[in-house]
Amino acid sequence: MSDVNLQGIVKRFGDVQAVAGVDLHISSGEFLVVLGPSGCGKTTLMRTIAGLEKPEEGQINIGARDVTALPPRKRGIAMVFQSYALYPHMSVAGNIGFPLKAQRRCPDRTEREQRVYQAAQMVSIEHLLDRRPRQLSGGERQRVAIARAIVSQPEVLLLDEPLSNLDAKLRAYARDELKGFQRKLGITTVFVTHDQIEAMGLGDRIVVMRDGLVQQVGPPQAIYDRPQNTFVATFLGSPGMNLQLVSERVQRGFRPEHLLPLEELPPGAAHEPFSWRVTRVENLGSDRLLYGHIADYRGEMQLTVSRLPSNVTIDIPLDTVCEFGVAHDQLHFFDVASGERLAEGVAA
Amino acid sequence: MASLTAGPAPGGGARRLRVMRVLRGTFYTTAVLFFCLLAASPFLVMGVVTFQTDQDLYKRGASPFDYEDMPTLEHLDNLFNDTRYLSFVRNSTVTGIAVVVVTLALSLPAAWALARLTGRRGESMGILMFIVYLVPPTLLFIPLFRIIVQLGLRDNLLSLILVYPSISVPFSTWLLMGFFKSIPPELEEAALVDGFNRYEAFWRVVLPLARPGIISVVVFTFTLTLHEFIYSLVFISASEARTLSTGVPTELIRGDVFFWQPLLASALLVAIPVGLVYNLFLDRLVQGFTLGAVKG
Amino acid sequence: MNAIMSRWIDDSRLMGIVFLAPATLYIVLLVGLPFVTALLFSVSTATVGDASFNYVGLRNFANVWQTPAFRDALVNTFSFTVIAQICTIILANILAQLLTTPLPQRRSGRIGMWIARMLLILPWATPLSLSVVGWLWMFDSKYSPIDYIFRELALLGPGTVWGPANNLIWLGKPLLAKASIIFVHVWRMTPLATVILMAGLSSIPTDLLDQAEVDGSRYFRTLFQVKLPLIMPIMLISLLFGFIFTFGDLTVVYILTRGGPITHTLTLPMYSFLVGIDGGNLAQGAAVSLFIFPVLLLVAVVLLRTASRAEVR
Repeated sequence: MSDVNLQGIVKRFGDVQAVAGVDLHISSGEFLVVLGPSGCGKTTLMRTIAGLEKPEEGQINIGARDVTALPPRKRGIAMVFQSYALYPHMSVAGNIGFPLKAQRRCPDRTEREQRVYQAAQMVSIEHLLDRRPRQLSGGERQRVAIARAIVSQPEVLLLDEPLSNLDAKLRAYARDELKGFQRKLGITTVFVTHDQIEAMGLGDRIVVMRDGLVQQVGPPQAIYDRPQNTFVATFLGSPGMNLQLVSERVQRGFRPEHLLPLEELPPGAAHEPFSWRVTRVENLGSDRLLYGHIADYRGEMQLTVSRLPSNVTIDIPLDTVCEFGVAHDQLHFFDVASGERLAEGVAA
Repeated sequence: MASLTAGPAPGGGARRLRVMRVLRGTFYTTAVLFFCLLAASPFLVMGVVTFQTDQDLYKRGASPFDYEDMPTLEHLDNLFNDTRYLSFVRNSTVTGIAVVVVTLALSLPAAWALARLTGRRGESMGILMFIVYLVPPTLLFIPLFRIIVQLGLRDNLLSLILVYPSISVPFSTWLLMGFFKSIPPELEEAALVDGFNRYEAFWRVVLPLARPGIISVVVFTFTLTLHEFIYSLVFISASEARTLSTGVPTELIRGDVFFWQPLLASALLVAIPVGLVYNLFLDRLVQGFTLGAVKG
Repeated sequence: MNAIMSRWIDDSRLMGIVFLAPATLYIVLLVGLPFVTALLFSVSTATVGDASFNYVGLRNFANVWQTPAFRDALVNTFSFTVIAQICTIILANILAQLLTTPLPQRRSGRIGMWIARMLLILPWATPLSLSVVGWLWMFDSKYSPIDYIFRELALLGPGTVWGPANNLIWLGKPLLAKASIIFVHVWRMTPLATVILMAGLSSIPTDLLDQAEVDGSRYFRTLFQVKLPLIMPIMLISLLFGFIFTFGDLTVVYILTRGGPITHTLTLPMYSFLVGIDGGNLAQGAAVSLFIFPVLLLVAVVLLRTASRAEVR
């Protein structure tokens, strides 16, 4: 297992900068999730690590080796594509064994078959080795792709939205399995996704990207609790953070679950009061979402959301002024022009 | 170990990479140029010969690729004024247009019916069309010759207009089927709801949407009539009714006497425009060749 | 009355029949009927002058089979077609690989590609009878430009490998004449095969090729173990077209050699034309051309079945 170090990676397609200068260090054995909306450059970044794209600027190290100019086969990486990219004309065993044959690392046939079997066993598909990819379900295909990725014992495993083709139920299960399996192998893993639930649930650390630039790096909870800018604040969480202008230069933010009726606030906590009219309620079972408008400092109304857990049973009448509040330590302040987080003292 | 050599190695590696890339580019360009020359060689020679004087052309041992005498337009003049070339062009054009009309009239409705005829029957009818396209004229020219004689259509362009659709209709139906299948039935149904009957819906909704397919059929059918050789050779022997494909090689060669410059000029004059048009429509024609046969 | 009309107009099954009928009728009359006529001719004594039907059984086939010229035609037709197809598919694969190689996107490159494509497609786009006239000049016994190039390369002429004559006389010697005809077929069919293969190659999902690269596969392994197996069905289709076009072709032989020298380049279509049209013996001509049919049918069935069985995607 090795660490991965990216320095000043720039990748352009014509006039478009897909990756616009990224520095990143991925520790050995870490599960790093790259999260961002589509078109943010996350897949390009991963393809650059894989060697499928050559960066215009910057350097990539895997372990102590500078791999910037090396082709994929010399980098010690493996990759699982979003489509799984299984070879349709080969059996499952043929698919899993292909990297071993291609890299000529395992000339002995019985040893190769043994390693294919072990890899298949790891993801419990050893009974499917003779099948063709098109005879498999989505979940089975995903396992074949993972078995093929680990069979050559790569130093780094790259996963490009490998769960997005599974249905919702299977996805939760596959997530759990993937994480357990990565821990067992202890393999350095980079996982690209646009799904924040996957990101929060899987990542040791999350990298949030936008327009080819890294917005914030850190453990999932830290990013959720202290978003570095308004993009991260609104991108993470569903619904995202409420934002409100409090002056020409300062924006105030709070998460929906922190906008609570006064009586639900922790007793004695200093809080900011909000009087608002709830115009619509969505009952989601585990939560209630309340929608309404709160005026900013100019008096303009802004859509605001509150999320009440189901154990808060208080009755909220529609179109009536209600008294809500947000605890002071749950308020975030951002610069209006740059969107960057302001140090607590500055905002006050 | 790698980190020790990290200083000088990337520079050297980059240079070697660049050299490799230039070498690969040169190899690539040379190979493509070689094949282009091979493919175009008879046409390039045609282009040279067309403007050569007799003296220049028939000088033994001299290079056939350059001019010793001044290039001359004499042979083009000769081709247009002293031979039946223009009448071949006219016959080919008339035949081509008529065949295009007949082909469209037959294959448009048939293709629609086959595209909307779902299930196994539609599929097997489609494959039958494909097989009919594979029947070569060599198999049928003798009985068809008999039939044409019986109908009194020998030496008449009508014979070609009657027979050519037997080649163009299957392929066109096949090609249009693909286009019709890509038009969602909901569009037709919307037209029915809007108050059209099925025939009006076909005419006003389906046909306009299939215009790209129709254009490829026109191009394909027209060039096919230009290409066809056997039927034209067998059905038509009067020189005034000959078409380009048979007129040029039979009429411009008198016995053993080859009038090479007008002969090659006439070939080149057809090759260039047809080549241009084919290049424009290449992707669509390839679709027709591969689409149905390999179920995507 | 009006109600009946409108029910007819809205009947979609009736409409299907109405739409399919003209084309079906046409094909039955102009493909089906002649085919049956060909079968009837082949078991009769029909000639151009006399269309009366005398049943003679398989005598025409037996007569034809015993003619040495027919034997030549049969062997030539097969060998020309098979050799030409092998050469075509190899060349087309090389060309398709070259033309699908991604290049740095420059404007001049794109214009260059367009011109290259135009030149490469010319052999297929030009009416065959006209381009073969060009080859007739290329193979001319005295002025052949090919001979000139060989002379300049010191391969031909007095005191050289292929000398001492100054000309090879391509169409005058049996072996060279056969080679010339095969060459023209390859020249003519390669563009079509290339563009079909290119369509196949570009339909391979890029993920698969990226995956092969990540798996560590190099150029030739990716070519032989990933790309070629994936385009196999399309390759078979291209072979099918090539086979049928070459097998049934009259044009090349008719213009280049008319079957000569003697019968060394005779093919079934050419022989059928000489016997049936030039010689006026419709019955024997039809018998000759019918030999083409089972072969074509067999090839078509075999190739289409293999193609549909091979896995795509």
